[in-house]
Amino acid sequence: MELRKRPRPNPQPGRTREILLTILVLAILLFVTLNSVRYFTRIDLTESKAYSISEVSRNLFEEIPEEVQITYYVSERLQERFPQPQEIIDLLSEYAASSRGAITLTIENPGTDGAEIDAEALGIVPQQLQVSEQGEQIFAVVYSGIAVSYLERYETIPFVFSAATLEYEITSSIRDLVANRTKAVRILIGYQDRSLDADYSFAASQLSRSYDVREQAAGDPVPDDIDLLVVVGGENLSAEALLPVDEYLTRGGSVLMTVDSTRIDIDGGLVASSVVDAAVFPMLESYGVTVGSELVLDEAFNQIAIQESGRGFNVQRLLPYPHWISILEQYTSVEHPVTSRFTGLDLYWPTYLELADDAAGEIIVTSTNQAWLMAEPYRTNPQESVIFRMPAEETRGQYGFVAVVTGRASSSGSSAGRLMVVSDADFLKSRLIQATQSGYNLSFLESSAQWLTNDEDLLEIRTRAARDLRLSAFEDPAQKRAFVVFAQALNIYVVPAIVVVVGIIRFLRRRRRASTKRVQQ
Amino acid sequence: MTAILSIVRKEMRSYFNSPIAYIVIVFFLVFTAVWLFYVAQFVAQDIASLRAYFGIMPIVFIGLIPALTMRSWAEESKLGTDEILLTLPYRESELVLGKFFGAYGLLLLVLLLTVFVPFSVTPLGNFERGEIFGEYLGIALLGAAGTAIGLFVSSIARNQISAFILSAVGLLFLTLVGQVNAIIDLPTWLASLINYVSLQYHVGSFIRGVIDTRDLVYFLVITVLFLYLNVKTLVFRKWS
Repeated sequence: MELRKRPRPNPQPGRTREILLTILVLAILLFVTLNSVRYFTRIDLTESKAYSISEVSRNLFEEIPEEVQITYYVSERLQERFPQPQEIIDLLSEYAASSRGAITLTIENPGTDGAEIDAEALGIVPQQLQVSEQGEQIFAVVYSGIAVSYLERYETIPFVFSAATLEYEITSSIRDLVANRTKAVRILIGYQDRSLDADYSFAASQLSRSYDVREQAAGDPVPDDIDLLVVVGGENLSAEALLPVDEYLTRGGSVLMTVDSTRIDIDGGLVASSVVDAAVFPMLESYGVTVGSELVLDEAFNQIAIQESGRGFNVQRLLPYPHWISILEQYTSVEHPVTSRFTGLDLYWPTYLELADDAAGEIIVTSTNQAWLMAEPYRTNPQESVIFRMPAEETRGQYGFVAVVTGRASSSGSSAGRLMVVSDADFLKSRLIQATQSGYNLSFLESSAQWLTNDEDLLEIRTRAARDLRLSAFEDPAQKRAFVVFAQALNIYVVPAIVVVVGIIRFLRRRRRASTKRVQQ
Repeated sequence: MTAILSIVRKEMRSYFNSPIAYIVIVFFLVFTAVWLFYVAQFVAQDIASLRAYFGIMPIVFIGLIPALTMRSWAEESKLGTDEILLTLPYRESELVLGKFFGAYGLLLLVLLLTVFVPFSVTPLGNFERGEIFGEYLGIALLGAAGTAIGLFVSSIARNQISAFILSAVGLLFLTLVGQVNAIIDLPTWLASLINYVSLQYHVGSFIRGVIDTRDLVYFLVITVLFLYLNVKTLVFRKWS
């Protein structure tokens, strides 16, 4: 019998099948990836639904009679380098999709087909970006601006690089375009030696985002088509200059009044003087608002930077300064639209205000309940720190800073528009905002303007993602420091130490078990 | 499933029987906490957000994940135990999934131990809980993709050291490749491709508290792709 060699199994068919299977799996994964880029959805986990289209915008879509065109001019160079343009495109796409055809979205790349000429003609502002091209550093011109057009009209967002308040900006632009009107704000500066451009440019610029902002001359009549009058430093105005303001309020206008009963000379050694006899105070009393004559100091305070000269050099020192009060979220009204989503407010040498029992309003911002008062002679020098450590116990308590009133006190009879009074005339001063990095003062101003101009729905969109970002839950700084030390110790030492101890115990147990085993063997 | 679980148990036991698990956990916890409190100046910044804390995790993972996965296949290969393993009545996919869930389980345990950070700092301010949840989800998905890559590299490396170096270089490349676009002006298609490949680019939405299905699919595809390649490596090794 002839023995024949058994043929070895050929691995080739199995290998070919595996290779084909691998190619198939890779193709499926590629297919899934490509489709995921085309068809996608986003789930917003934030409590405020900050990255979803709001009900206010959805309601607005139903009121648009003709098509609105949104054009986002964005440079490819910018899109390649940063994720923000994609976030903006995502939000705009979701916005257009929610409008069910009322809004169409176009993405244009300036630099192609004359799009940059169109963009600049619409007011889109080019920016410079440093890039490396063929080994050389060059400045490239990039665009990221939005034009919203309706019929023959258009509004522009000259440069946008964050989707945070974009929905608010687009919705308010569409509303203005459809209504064919931008709300008007006038600012009346009560000080002779201050101007809107030099001293309140931040505030004017913030309001310009949503309103047509102009300066109001003292004593001039306030036109009826003005939506809001902001009076800065009302204590400096004469009775004659205040008369048009009072008349405007009586006719149903809205006024934001910042007023102090103590004037601080910021450039003159912080010398304080009382102005309790100013004409503005009787006017405010007719609305049920009384402004106190003492300065308020608080445990929740900011620091002030002091320049000290040494031998040939200057040193900047930060000193605690209870005259500069940092308002805590828990001391604001949760119900009122202006403060329901509070982001922060810093006041500088504020006095306090009270509401009469028959006033048609409420106090929405107060000090902590550990504040105290300082009567004349005022001590405002930050280096006299010993003064601040001796608060007047007999005046310790909680004091009001912002009041909102929706009419005159009932004893005065006649009705009026919305009035907001802030017992600090300095909180909008650009220099002070810069010194304490209090950008949230401007956000408070914008929220107040929106409430005063009856734009509560827009206020809701703008502030829905807003929250007090400061670590301000502890009022007592010592308590906060102690908690921080606890958190640091827990996370840097305690938890890792527990892991080490568990490891050592486990190691010792294994060693004991092994030696027992050896003994038994 | 039973087979996978028994491999997971074996893997976990071997991690905790050596000092590696403890070193990895302690290093991760101490480094990230020191980063938050001292380097990122969490208290001085005075911002109720943990973005700085979660933002550093992808960078820490570049060293941490290779340390966890380097020995998975490379050590078995060096000791010759991989051949015994492949003769056991387990499918290659069960072996790969068992090793993956073993290493990923340890990574999730490390993440679980970090919950003391949000618990201890959130009483200081008004933190966004949805954002913290999104941050954990994003980092967990990034960890899954990184672990799958590390395991695959371990399966093709000759020893632990080369597995560690190759995984670390691979993760470093995938994490920071997006930065290339910030430096060099590339053609649009290439720049978009680079952005899409970047691991860090896809964590961005999660860190803001948004689950974007594009990012979710990306992490799942990367994880499945490298686990599949790992399985195929074992299959082809059997034949060679």
